Amino acid sequence: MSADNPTPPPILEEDLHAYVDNCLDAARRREVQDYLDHHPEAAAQVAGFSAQRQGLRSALASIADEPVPSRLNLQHMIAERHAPRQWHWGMAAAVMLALGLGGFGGWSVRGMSPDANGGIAALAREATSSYAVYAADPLRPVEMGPERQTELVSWVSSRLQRPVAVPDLSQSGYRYIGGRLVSTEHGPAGMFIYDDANGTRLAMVVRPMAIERDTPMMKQSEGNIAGFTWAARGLGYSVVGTERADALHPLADEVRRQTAAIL
Amino acid sequence: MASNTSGDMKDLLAHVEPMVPALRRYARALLRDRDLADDLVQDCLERVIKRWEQRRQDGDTRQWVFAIAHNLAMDFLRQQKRRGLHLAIEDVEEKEMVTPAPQEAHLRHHELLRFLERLPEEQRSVILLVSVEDLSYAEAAKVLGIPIGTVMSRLARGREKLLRAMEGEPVQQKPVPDSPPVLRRLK
Repeated sequence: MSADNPTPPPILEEDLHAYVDNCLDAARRREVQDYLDHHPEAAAQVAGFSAQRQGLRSALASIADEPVPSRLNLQHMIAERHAPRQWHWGMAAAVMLALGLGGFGGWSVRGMSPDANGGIAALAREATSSYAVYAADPLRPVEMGPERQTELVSWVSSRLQRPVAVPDLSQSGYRYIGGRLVSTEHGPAGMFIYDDANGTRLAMVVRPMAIERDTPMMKQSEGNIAGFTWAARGLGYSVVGTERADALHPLADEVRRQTAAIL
Repeated sequence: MASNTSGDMKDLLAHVEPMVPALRRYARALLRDRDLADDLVQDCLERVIKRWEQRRQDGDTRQWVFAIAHNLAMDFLRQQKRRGLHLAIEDVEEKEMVTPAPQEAHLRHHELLRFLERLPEEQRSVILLVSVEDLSYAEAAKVLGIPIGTVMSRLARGREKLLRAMEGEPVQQKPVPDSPPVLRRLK
């Protein structure tokens, strides 16, 4: 410090933190540095704070490096927000065009939102809307009852061009009540419906996946319909129902276990 | 009109999409659960989309978005407390918080996060916003809706407490006799 400089203002606690956080201007930084050179205890504390700051940054860095899950894809969310209630795809597409977001192909090429093109996020929505239309129907939820299981399985398998099976959830308290073929934006899908002793229904929807053919389980929730969706060896599965997600989770795990065993 | 909306939404994408990884990190550090944190971020983004056109044009977007996320997290934590639920309900493993690093660093990180978790919530958010998310003190003050002096004192108290806790934790050497028992880890 040269003699013609006025005495620097005293070093306060907040200066030490600002030093740690690199938000002092150069002059003040030098003053703090000078202070630390003469006060080993404060210097030790500042070193501790800096190590702590660095430690937290490294400990949490990997979270920000993870790929963002498809349900947090902002483009997607903006498009969906403009599609009221049940998925009005024509409208969503029109909105996306209006927003200048380009076609689905463009999204995929940019790698921003492959799921918009039929990945598991799309399957999750399709399963939710199928559930809302069919499984929630009090009178006629299924097209073929449990007595026609073999017939339904062979019909669905032939339309999906993949062998599928009806998981047995009786150990979990759910009885198979039948199913149907449903239509999705990405082709036909099989839907198998179950209920428990209270009449609570859940459904499993299955269809082939053109992309995202093997993914971990993803949780979803839309209105009062929750579910879990995943893909394995080219088939996508979604287990949906009005149960709470934490009650559905073990059921989805069980379906995944059984379907994996079949494959 | 359509072009207005389109411009707004492009604007939204350009500003907010780059923040999503940081929002996930902040939410997960506060809630300590991947799914709950992502639920929260989803909720936050939905609000951002809904309110985008009404936001203050002169305000800082990052600060505004973080404030929405922070308030949602606080609501959530208050609810949990009221219901007496513990956050980490199912299969929340440490690997969901951090990617395994070399053993010792990994242990150290794990401890740091564990001690961070035990700080009062108000100190934890300040530390995270400033140390990890790189918000300035003024920005953190706006996000938290508190004066900047309060930010400084919470930051100082929180860092000191965390430092004492870490020093009291023998990682490989020197057992410290006087560390507060509540912060001790039983292995």
